[in-house]
Amino acid sequence: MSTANSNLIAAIRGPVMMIAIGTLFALDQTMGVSIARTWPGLLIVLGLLILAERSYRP
Amino acid sequence: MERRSLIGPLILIAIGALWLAHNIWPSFDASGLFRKYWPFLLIGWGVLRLVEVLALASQGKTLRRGMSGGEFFVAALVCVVGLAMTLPSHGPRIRIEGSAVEIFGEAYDYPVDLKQAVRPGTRLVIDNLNGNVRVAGGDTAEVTVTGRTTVRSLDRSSADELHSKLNIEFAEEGDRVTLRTNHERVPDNRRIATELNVVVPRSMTVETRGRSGDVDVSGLDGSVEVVSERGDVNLSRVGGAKLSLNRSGRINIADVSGNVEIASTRGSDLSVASVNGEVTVSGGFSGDMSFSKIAKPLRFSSRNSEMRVERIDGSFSMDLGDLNGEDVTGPVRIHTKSRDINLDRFTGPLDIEIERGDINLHPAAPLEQMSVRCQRSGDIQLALPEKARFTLDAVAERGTIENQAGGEFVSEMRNRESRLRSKSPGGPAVNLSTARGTITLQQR
Repeated sequence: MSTANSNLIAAIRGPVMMIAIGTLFALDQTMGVSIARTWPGLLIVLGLLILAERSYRP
Repeated sequence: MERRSLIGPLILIAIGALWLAHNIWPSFDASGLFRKYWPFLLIGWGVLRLVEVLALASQGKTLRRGMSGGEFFVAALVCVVGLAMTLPSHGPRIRIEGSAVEIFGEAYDYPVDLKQAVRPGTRLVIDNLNGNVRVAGGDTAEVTVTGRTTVRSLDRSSADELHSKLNIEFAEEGDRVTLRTNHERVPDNRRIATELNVVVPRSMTVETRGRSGDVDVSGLDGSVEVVSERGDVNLSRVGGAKLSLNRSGRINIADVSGNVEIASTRGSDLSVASVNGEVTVSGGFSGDMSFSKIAKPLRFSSRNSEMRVERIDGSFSMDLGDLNGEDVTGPVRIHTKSRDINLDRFTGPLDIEIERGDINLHPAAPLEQMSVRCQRSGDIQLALPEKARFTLDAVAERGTIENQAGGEFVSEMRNRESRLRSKSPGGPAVNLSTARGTITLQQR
């Protein structure tokens, strides 16, 4: 079960990152929150995903 | 076996539908839609992939790790193209270089306070690399400068050190006085900006030079010259205007007694109103352009377009998809690629040549010479004033001609071509032609 969970999280990494990047650009464009300020958020999301994947790994 | 993702074909279908819509209705602005909404394309794509992965997981199928190289490439391409398209209207908002300092540093302000007596007829040059400049004409004999310099830095002492290198000053040479903020003296000068409020004698001619920042000038009898890399420009009640811009933001020019000359590599919105002189515009503008009450000829040229209007009593406006004119005086000449054109109550000769787009014409009496040509496709609609005298030659290479106006015409049809001509010549020549589309004559 834990291997399956770990695989699932690895598989959703791409889509989740894509959503995150799209959201930051959309914020930049519609609300004027510059991506130059918000990009570290991407690192945090990516880090959390990798951590979650590792914690499930047997 | 591993199932392939559905997203690739879906994206192909979406792109195909967008282009098709653009080809069928020229006014449908596919690139504009993309420019506005491309981040949502990424979000939508991500959500679809997520749903797909979760569905596969619930069925206990094997999951593919990460994204494929092809998907990654397309996503990166969307980002790059989207960014490239949005940058001009964004102006200075995306600026990676300065951001690290902006996040970690703090802003320290230093006041600016200067005065300089000037002789009449002096030209003032304001040389300020970063920051907004506001100039106002007043009943005074000297130039008064107030404002502040902002230095972004980690601590007060290094900010002081940077600021001490600047030494904002006036330099006089011949009949010109230069106000310099000397940002060039600091190597990393993106962290420095000076905001200037300048009051000058009304008769002065003013020139501003800078890299980023808005320029605002009002109440001058003299003319204004603006050289800038990016930023908005607002000019009102000035003697004349000459703008050389790279990526301009919003440009607003109103009440100018002399000529206006604008060159912008990549601009967004432009509005010019109440000008007694000529207006010359060159460069690419991705936003709305509007001109109203221009007493002398307006000339506009860009990569795809070439236009000239003798006089504008009403308004003349365009964006990437449409061009609308009201109360304009010819000769009017419009050569462009794809735009829908609407001209209302115009007088004088008319010359239109476009690749595709619908053309709607309501000329005022008396009719003058008219040459209208759609090279690829588009409908032409001409509403004739009463008792108009003219010699018509209308050709629809693939299409029909509808005459709802009556009159003495000869109609010919050959293969897919329709042609309608005046029986006997008399009056100015009206030539209408389209490669594909309908030509309609109406009576007003």
